Amino acid sequence: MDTDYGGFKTTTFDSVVNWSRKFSLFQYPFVTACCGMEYMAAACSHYDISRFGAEIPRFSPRQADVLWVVGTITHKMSPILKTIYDQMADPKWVIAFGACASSGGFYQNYSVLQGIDRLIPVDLYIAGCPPRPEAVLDGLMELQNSIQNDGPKANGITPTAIRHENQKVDQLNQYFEISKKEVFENQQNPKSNRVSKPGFTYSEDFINVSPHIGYDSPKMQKDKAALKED
Amino acid sequence: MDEEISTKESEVSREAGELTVLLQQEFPDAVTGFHAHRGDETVVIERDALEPVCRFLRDDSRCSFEIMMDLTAVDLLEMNETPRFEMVYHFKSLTHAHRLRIKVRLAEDDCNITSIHHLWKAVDWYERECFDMFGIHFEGHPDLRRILMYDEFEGHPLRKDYPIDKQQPLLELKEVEERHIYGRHA
Repeated sequence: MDTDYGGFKTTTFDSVVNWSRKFSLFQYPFVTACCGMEYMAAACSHYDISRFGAEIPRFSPRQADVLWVVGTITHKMSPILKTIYDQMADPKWVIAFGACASSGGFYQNYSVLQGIDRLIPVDLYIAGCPPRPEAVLDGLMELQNSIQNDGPKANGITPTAIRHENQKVDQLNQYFEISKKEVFENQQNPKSNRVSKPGFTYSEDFINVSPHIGYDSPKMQKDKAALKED
Repeated sequence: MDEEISTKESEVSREAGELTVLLQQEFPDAVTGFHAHRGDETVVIERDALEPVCRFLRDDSRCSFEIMMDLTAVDLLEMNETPRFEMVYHFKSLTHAHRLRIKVRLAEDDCNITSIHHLWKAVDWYERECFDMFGIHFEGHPDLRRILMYDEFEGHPLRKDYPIDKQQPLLELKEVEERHIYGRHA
């Protein structure tokens, strides 16, 4: 792609912009659980995440590029995570750090969200319970690769920007739907300042997670059903 | 294996300890059972006697339980026991350096018990947690509402008849169709 013309170098504008973006990632650490220890280890001087240009954690989502979701996310926490994600300015990326953020981990009970990708788009999953700092740095480098090479439909994968764009469209649609409905104060607890939607009854809408370990995509479910029929 | 069990059984003493005898003298109608394990006494009392017994335990100089350590409930549904719930109270005395466990049985259709918030202020959040997780109502509690779960949550998750995989998300969740792989694995 790059061609050498005797001391000059030509390239595309996108690759220059992506190059500058991937080496100046401002992070927002959304730390909720024990994975935070490994995040701190990776961020501190021993492993030194600043070697990869991800030096400064910003504790305002408005100033951050990468959302690190580090640890277990409960259903009670999920509106907060969504708000943080919404407050971040484009372009933005999301990393699911560890087993709990990626899939719910070993929590499959009444309180834990089974993977944050059911709520917000995720660009990178780091495996481990918790991941070693080496795995964190490896994941960061993978993210940098993806930022550099994120062109239209690279390798048949929907590019990051498009998926975040889709999320935005979904949210706008939801917003207009909600504005049509009535919004009323929480009746169960008059002291709560949270607002509930009417008609949002959980007895019918609750999600039954199948008893096996892990999460199946609809495609996998279809495949399994086909296998059973055979 | 039989030996292990028999050893454990032998550690449970059926003889009444000092505090048990004291409670039996003061509240002869209220005490329905007792046992002790390695010197820690447990007394089972009637529900209606909880408030006077707790007041006695706090104020009497032979007891002087200054600290309300813990409060929780046990759901005995799968052990086929009636009444279904068992309240467990733990007290500690700094003066005498002794402990006492009080148990109260509660029926399923009448999950009400007197709050002891006016005796120990520390019991406030314990009772809220117990209400949140088990749905036990504490009469006289100043602010009995959920403490761990969100207000929209229906049911009480630590009851044994709560479905083990039932979730009640606050936001609409979407199905995950594909998880993306980047870099050298792609």
